[in-house]
Amino acid sequence: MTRWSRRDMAKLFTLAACGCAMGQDRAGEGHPAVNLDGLKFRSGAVPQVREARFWEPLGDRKVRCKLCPHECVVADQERGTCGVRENRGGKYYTLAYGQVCSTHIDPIEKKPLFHYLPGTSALSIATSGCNMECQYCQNWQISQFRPEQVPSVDLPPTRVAALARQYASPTVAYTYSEPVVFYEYMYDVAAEARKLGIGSVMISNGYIQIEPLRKLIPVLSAIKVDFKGFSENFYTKVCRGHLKPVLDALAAIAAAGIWLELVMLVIPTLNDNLEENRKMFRWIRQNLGDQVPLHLTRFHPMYKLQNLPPTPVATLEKLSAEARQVGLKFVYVGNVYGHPEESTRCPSCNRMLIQRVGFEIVQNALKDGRCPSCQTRLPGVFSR
Amino acid sequence: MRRSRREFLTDSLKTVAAGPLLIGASTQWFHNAFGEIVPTDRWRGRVVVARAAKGSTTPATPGALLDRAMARLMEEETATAAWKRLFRPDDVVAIKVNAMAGRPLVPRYELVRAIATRLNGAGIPDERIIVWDRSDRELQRAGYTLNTTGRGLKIFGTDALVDGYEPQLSHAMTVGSCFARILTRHCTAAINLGVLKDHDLAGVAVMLKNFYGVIHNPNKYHNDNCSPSVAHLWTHDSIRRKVRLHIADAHLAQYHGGPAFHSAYTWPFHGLIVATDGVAADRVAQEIIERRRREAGMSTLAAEHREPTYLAEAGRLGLGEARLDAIRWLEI
Repeated sequence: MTRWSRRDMAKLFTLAACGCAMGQDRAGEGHPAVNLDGLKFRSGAVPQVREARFWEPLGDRKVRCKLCPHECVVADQERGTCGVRENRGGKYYTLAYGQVCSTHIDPIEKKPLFHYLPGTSALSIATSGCNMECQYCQNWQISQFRPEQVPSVDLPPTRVAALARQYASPTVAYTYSEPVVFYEYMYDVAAEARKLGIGSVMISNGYIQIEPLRKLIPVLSAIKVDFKGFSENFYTKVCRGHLKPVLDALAAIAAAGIWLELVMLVIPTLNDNLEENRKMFRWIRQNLGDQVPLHLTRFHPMYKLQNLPPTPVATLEKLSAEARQVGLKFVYVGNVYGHPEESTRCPSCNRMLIQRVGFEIVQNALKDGRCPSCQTRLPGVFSR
Repeated sequence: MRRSRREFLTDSLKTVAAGPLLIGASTQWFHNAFGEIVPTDRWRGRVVVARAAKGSTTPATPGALLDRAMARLMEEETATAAWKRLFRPDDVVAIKVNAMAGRPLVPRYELVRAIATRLNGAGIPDERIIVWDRSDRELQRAGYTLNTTGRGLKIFGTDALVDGYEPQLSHAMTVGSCFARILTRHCTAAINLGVLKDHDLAGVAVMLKNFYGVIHNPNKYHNDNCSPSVAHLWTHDSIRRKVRLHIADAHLAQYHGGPAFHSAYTWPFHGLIVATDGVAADRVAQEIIERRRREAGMSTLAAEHREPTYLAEAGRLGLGEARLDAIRWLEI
């Protein structure tokens, strides 16, 4: 038998004491004083379901969703990647219809839409759900949850339209999460709002199939698309989507003639490459035209992307200069309070037309949508 | 070699510093009713498949099967002793059922009741047992009667709670989710109660896959046949530390067309699968389903590009035994 010295024993006891201390901590984790009396239960109605649009049966009670480019094949009792459309017995339903989890009166500039009724407000609504999962999503607490997981109120389309009129908002904005996933509800609200002379704007990632998009456009007044980047790799790895369907949707929107603005959130090291963005700017000019406003906005750490710093303002300014160099007429810098490139100048005579600070309009010199100096017409929607 | 007092003190301090790291890297463990410190992988690779006796005209009750299976799994004389090896009287136990498919492809309530009765025998009253899945609706479709009163078994969905999910994300390798508080805060131990069934993407949805129901965003982790996401999910500390037992109700089993109930592809198995190693139990379940598919003249899960490859990944991560030839598959 090995004989242990006093020294070895001391060492062993030190290790044992250390292990015990650690063990106590870990055991403690498993046995907190759990008090089940404090459980708080929800009250309220279970979300109502409606049959979804744009899907096809596949047999064996499976369905294929044809609303967005994921084209999820969904087995019975399962949901698509959006988390709000569910197969029940071979029939596809939306669980998001009318289940509004966020409602605000926002300045239209917050969307951001700079060339659409500047200085007005928009009744902004969202349900839960999204067909992407951007790792930097700023509204992930609703976009990445299911309807039954977030508190919501039931707002029928007629009620939304009436609320917009009550609060003197000329526009209803479908925003915060991803309105494509609550398509049926958005469509019906837009149709009801239109009856009252109220417009509708979709704030979207543009991840939608062409057929539903074409059917939706006639009830909308404007669309803003988050252009995530110009690489398939970025769309796949960071956003769980694909680039090509977004390009197709943008081209379809431009062809339909509805007012369109683009936002690109510039993220250090992930989508801020100058050469790649130059290609994007050229694609925009060639396919959407040089009049489409482009908002280059500043990233802040959020959701699963906490390891990167906010975008340096100099990066935004460099990309902005490049976009102008490529030929885009209306390029804005966003999420940088008080930046001079928040404002709109006349593309012909450079006169200040709409001066903004944050979401506030400081000065609007437009006369009937035109520059008062040179009469150049500013592209956009400036009257109801 | 004789060392100076200085060298001795230096070595001792290094030991003090390294101790927690060594302990922390070791396996998870818990205290049982006998006051033993039990590593969670103590019965690694052991899977009991208990079935009604051949030729028996009356199928064994779930409780009788469960008692036989537990005693064999834990190598105990009595089932009561086996339950005490895993739980202790001050535990709050959450039983995560897989109610998704609806009746009859869900854990039978008789089995849930039998488990609760055995927990009672280990000193845990009904009032400290929560039977749960992600939504009240699914539980009701499965035939369970919701109970949120202070008496009896608590039965409700995560969505029944005002704050059902943790407000902050937590990460388990590639999985980033908000976890159900029933698991993270309201229990000290958990039982994974699934069913023996096929899954059109994941291959099988028996044990590990059932815990997609504890995260808020399972729909984001179904790409690539749920692999390696299912395995990664199981590296989460709350799951590894709290889940002590896996049981699959295999009274009725389904070899194709899952995860929903599809009567054309079901067969009466009249059994239970019981293990403390969920990876091994899933691997055995996969084999049972593969055999039944062969009997039915169907192709393998691999041929249909939906082999549960996440099991091999779970094995590599040390979550359990995924190699069939290394599993002790005990038929009783």
